Amino acid sequence: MTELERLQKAKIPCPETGIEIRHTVCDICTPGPQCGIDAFIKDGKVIKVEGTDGFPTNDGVLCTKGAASRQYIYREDRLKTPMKRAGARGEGRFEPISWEDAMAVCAEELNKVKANHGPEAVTFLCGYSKWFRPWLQRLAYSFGSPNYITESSTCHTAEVMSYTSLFGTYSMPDLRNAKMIMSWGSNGVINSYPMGRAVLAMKAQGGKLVVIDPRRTHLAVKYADLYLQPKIGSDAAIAHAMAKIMIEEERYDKAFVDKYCYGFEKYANYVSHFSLSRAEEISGVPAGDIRKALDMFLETDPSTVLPGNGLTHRINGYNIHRAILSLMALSGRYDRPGTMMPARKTLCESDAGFDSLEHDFYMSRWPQNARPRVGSERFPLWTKLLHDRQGQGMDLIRHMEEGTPYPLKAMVCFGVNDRMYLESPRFLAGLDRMDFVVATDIFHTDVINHADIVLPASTSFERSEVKCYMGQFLYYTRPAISPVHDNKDDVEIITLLANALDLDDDLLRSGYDKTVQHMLSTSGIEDWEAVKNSPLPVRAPNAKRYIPGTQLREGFKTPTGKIELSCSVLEEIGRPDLDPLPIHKSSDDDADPAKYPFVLMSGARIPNAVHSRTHNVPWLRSLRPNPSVDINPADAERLGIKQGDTVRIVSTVSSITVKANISSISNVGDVNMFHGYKEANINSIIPVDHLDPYTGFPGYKQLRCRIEKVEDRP
Amino acid sequence: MKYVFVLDESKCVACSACAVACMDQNDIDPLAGDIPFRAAFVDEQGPVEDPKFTFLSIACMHCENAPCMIACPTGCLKKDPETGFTVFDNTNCIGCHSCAMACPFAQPCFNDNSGKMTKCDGCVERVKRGMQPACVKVCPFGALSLVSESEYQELMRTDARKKISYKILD
Ligand code: SF4
Ligand code: SF4
Ligand code: SF4
Ligand code: SF4
Repeated sequence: MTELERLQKAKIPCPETGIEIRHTVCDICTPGPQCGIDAFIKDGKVIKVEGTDGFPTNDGVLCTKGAASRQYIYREDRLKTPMKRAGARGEGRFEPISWEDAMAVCAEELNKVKANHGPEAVTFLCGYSKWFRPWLQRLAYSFGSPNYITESSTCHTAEVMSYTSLFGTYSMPDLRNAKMIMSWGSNGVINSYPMGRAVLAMKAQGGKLVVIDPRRTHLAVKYADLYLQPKIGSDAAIAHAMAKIMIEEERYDKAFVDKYCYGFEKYANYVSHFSLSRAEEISGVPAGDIRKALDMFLETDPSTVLPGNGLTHRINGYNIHRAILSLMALSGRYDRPGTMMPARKTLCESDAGFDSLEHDFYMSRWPQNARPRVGSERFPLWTKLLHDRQGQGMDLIRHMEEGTPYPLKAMVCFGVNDRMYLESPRFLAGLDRMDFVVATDIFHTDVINHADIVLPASTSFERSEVKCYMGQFLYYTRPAISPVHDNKDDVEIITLLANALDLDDDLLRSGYDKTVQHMLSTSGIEDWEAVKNSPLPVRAPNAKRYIPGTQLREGFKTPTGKIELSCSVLEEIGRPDLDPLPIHKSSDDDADPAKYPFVLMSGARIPNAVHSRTHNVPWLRSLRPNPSVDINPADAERLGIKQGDTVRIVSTVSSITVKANISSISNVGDVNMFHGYKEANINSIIPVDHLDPYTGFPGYKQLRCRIEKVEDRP
Repeated sequence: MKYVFVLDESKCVACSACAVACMDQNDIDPLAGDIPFRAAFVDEQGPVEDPKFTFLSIACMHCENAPCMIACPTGCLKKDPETGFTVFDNTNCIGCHSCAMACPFAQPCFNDNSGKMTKCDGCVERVKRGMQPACVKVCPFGALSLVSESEYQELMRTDARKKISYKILD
């Protein structure tokens, strides 16, 4: 090999090879980390990626998924051109169409539905990615529909509700300053490595880690000083037993509770029924370990719980999450460094240290007199608690099927994934009931096959976008490459739609740069080109560090102005099945335990996947090629199942066939299955009404099932 | 300067980011039968009530008196004098698998179609230009590192933590 060939093969960026580095962000897991990426470009193509050194979230490293960015953006199944349906719905036959014609069809069909059935009959549905959400929300509202719905109906919003009902605002544990962390149902090193790194950094400085998780996670087996393995869904009983001890032994922060908390008496009376032995009976965790965990939590200050998102994926999940947060209030660990802190957001759930006009950007267009949005009557707490007025998408299937309180007739889908919906085939059947479906996506998904018009979207590598970081930084990317096919970025598509629909909304019709700069006009930034030119995120002139204690001083944004141990919004709603207190209640379904002896948990992260987005990336898929269910070795032995055997997971509604992965990551009696596989979609076997009545969230992580060995035919 | 790959086992979670970065660096195509040069493993041992887990990432150890090199009948493998990495030129490879059989870690791999040997070359060209190997650079937990021989000696002397050294065969 010549020297040049060697350089080229090693992909060394230099004038000789013509390989150049351009900066962008990874948008695979979104919207949390969005790590900085150095894209190695040769002849306009990405030939390799690396993490950007000095970038605030990742400083040079990447996770498993981000490292596969090149294959992700060049996936075979990317949508290549706008298309219109040529066969029957679901058949997957399409013919190409120009952007112009596609827009004309969309405008005509959507306006027709609006004229005949009202604007509410059009639902604007958002899946992944999430960077364009404020724009899609404004599009919906400017069109006149209150039905802007996102897949956060299954993912993040229940957490937001729990935090909001207690503290009046979304909050986050301050892992960087905590000296002790109680990680509750969260496997940070795998599900979000920057969070995992913060936990490990705390440990490296001598801090202590308690892990409470029904799965024997990486964090549990490798880093925990104390590991508690509760039965799935029993967490509230553990939290209540801890609260009872704190109150009865006068180890709670009385001054804090007196000054800042509402509902203490009712709450104290309720938790007094949870003795350690009762908690042990419910959870299977030895009483001594519960006490030890509490001692470690209280004896270190500052300390914090790190509650995992998955806690809300049980049908009593909202209460479980609240029960755990209540410990922070009781111990006076709120709004101080190293405890739970109020979270702020500037744009798309991320924080650059100043308030933007984002909320106003879409709420100013809220359709005042529209009929109620999807799910709002069925889930009144959702409706009353959330400031941003999304619909609850878990009521969509019912709404589409029953057509009440009014029929839905058209769907505008952006990155929608049917496999996030329970009994997913019913979601696709619901799409087929629509008069018109337009679907935008990066990839050719199942939902695409059910659309009338298909619009190809870009990845983060092909677009320009603003991203905020860590309460201080703001980043404005330029495209690292031109569109790989005849695709456009989501906001461009929204802008085209707004124009084609001839909406009375000049701002939205003016495109990304103008709208984003409008929302961020409070930043103090004047020269946006300079921000775009910066290789690393910059600090906005108006960015201010949050001063801990501000919230305590200014009062909480709850109806009572206090931290609510008893939720006043629920008191006001007054529905007998919705308790204002964070009660313990079984999250089990009514399936017969004799017939369905296992408890299924789905959705917990594996390193090489996020939802279904990376199952078709060959590098990532090669790491765990088969959809597989984790079964405890003791259960496997009892059932005569060996590693790699084919097994069926059977619920009361359906079944899927997968491979067995024998591992004690699953507790005895539990099985654990990653979601989003086309050939083995675990959510398709979860009943559509297996929902938390408070939040509408699916009980992904607790469902009765049966495991059957399937004899492989020779 | 001679180098040693070091895995700090206490930091590895077997996430495979290193394996993917290597595939990206070396254009590994699993669909075309390419075998990755680096792989991560979780090993679970012991009683069901209290299992012990080990998390590892393994690639070529760049052994000092590399058995693969000695075994190859056509001289495909050699030591890079500058870095000490076991590098290769597979032009003359006859696909006899002698190197793989000699290697205690079964590192040399063979593409399904071409039948020729490939393996980790330590990202030698990158290292020579002051860059880190792709797998080292990506690791989100800083578990993998490439250190000079003298740093390595120092590390072994001062650091009591368990490390999988790439000098296992010394
Ligand atoms: S997928 Fe990984 S690399 Fe990409 S943003 Fe998320 S954490 Fe970062
Ligand atoms: S990237 Fe690091 S933590 Fe992950 S498997 Fe490789 S060495 Fe281990
Ligand atoms: S690990 Fe195997 S391939 Fe690598 S140098 Fe040693 S013998 Fe050769
Ligand atoms: S040093 Fe380079 S070739 Fe070797 S495993 Fe690491 S990335 Fe792969």
